[in-house]
Amino acid sequence: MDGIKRNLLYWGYTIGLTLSMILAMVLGISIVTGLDETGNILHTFWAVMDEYGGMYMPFFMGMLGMVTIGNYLPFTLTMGSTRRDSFIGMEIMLHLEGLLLLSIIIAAGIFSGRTANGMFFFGRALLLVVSAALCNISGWAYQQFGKAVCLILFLVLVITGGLGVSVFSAMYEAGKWSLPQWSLFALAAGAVAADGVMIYLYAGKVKNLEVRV
Amino acid sequence: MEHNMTDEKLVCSNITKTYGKKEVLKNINLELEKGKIYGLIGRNGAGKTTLLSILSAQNPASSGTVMLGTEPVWENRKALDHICFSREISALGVNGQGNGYKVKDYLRAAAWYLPNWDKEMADRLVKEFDLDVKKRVIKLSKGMLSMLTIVIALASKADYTFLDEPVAGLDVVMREYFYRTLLEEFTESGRTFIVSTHIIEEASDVLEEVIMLDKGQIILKEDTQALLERAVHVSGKEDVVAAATKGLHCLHEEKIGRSKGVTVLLHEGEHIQGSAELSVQPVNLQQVFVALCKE
Amino acid sequence: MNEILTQEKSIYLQISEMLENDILRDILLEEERVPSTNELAKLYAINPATAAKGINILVEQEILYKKRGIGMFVKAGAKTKIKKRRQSEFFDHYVKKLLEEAESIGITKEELVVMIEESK
Repeated sequence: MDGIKRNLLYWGYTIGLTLSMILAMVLGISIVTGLDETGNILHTFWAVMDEYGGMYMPFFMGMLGMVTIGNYLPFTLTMGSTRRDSFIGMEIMLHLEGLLLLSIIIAAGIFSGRTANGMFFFGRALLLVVSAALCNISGWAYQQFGKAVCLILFLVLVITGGLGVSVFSAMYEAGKWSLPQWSLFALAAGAVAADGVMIYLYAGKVKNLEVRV
Repeated sequence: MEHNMTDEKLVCSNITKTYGKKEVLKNINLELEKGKIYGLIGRNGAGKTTLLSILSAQNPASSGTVMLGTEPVWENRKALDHICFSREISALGVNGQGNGYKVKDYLRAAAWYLPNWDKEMADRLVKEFDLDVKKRVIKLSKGMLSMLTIVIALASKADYTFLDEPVAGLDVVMREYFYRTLLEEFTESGRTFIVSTHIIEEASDVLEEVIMLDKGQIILKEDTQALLERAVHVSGKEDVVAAATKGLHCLHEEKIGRSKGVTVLLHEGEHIQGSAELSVQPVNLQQVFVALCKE
Repeated sequence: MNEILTQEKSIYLQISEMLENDILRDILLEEERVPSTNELAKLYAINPATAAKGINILVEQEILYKKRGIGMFVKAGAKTKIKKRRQSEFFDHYVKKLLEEAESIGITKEELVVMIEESK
């Protein structure tokens, strides 16, 4: 599908830039905060990525959502793309490159000595789905409520979500409580459904998207 | 293999566009042919950009359809592959968020998105315009921004190419260069161009047909030379002028003392004879347009 | 050919007149090729369709003719044809205006004739 192909190139590049920014930031932090006890830059990088990657990913993806619908999508329209092709291309590359980033985070976890058990992968897979959903939510909210409200909403969501996840995982790992299998499935299904719903809502906003005259 | 769409007409039927309560375009009907340079002339705010935007499916119409041959233009890559609307590039970005792009980002995106992109031509024009590809768009002057939109439009090699106020910000030498380059490309390729402008007189030699837009409606669409042949300015003593222009389509009149001047659009078969008492002079495109707007 | 276009008259008419003037001045000789539509369009920065219109007038008047695949050429006898036509148009284009102007400022026909006979 030629129309989608051009969008895969554009979105791949555009989202890839965000990805590189995250990696560059982690690298930068690694260098600035000084190397850890091993003195190895790569090891420090993995450690920082493991610890903070889970935070940066949803944050950057959320910001991306706003810039996508406010700037990049309309830009593709001025280049003659259809809304459908652009949207599909964007969602594909979003999830694909999200997966790429996730792989790096997973690798970071493994190289930093975490046990690669089910919960480890589950939590990180959840991270990807939530981040993608967040990207779409912020895109939808940007069109629905406008820039200011959307930003506030986004910050609130990220902070409470971030806090919630940190508390949750800390308590879980400390063994304070465990979750039955079914609730994990429910959580996973819920997250995927949320992404799906947000994609649907986002698409609704794109359907008659206007380029500002 | 899709049938040859390059010779199809671009037809606009009953297009209306409303923003909130404001009707920006009212019932536009237009038929555009392959192989012509059209001028879209109108005052600021007449709806030129909106019309071009809808013709290229970059904005949805409130009602009505745009067809390229038998294909609707809206959300249809098959038709859109033949159309390029190179809009005004602003420092605010496309929808006001801020434009972080550099010239080369635009050129790269154009190469990805425009199926007939001519990289050689683009590179040549960039050089001739002295555009710094590494420069951010927010750092460019209005003239350079215009040049970038011109590069994209010309190198797109699209069958239907729209330019919105392409000479804004260009000095007179560059403007002449633009008209010459446009004519050269037109002569060689036979592409259709629609050039919107409110600097009318300069462009009139280049435009084969003019479409005049005023307050969201088309007030005239005609071959430029034919229009200029039937527009005259009649002046002399008031009663002589009144008699000569009786029953004719008078657009605009001025009176000073006992003299009167009237701009007239002659219809088929009508004629006004000049004499010692009655001056009959030709009118240029800009004067016709201004007179029509005042009607 | 290097006259400038003015606003006084339709452009295509000016094109055909310029070509006629060149034929009268022996700048373009009979059986010689005249500039093509595209060349004229480029030279005067006008739309090729307009240039074509100007050339077509001359083709209709049998001043130019087309050699398929090569271009437009000046027809034999073109110079004479142009002179004849302009002679018949002379009254309308020049004399009439002269008489009108003379009348409006009070110069009689006799005075006009004297002016013409005494002119160099």
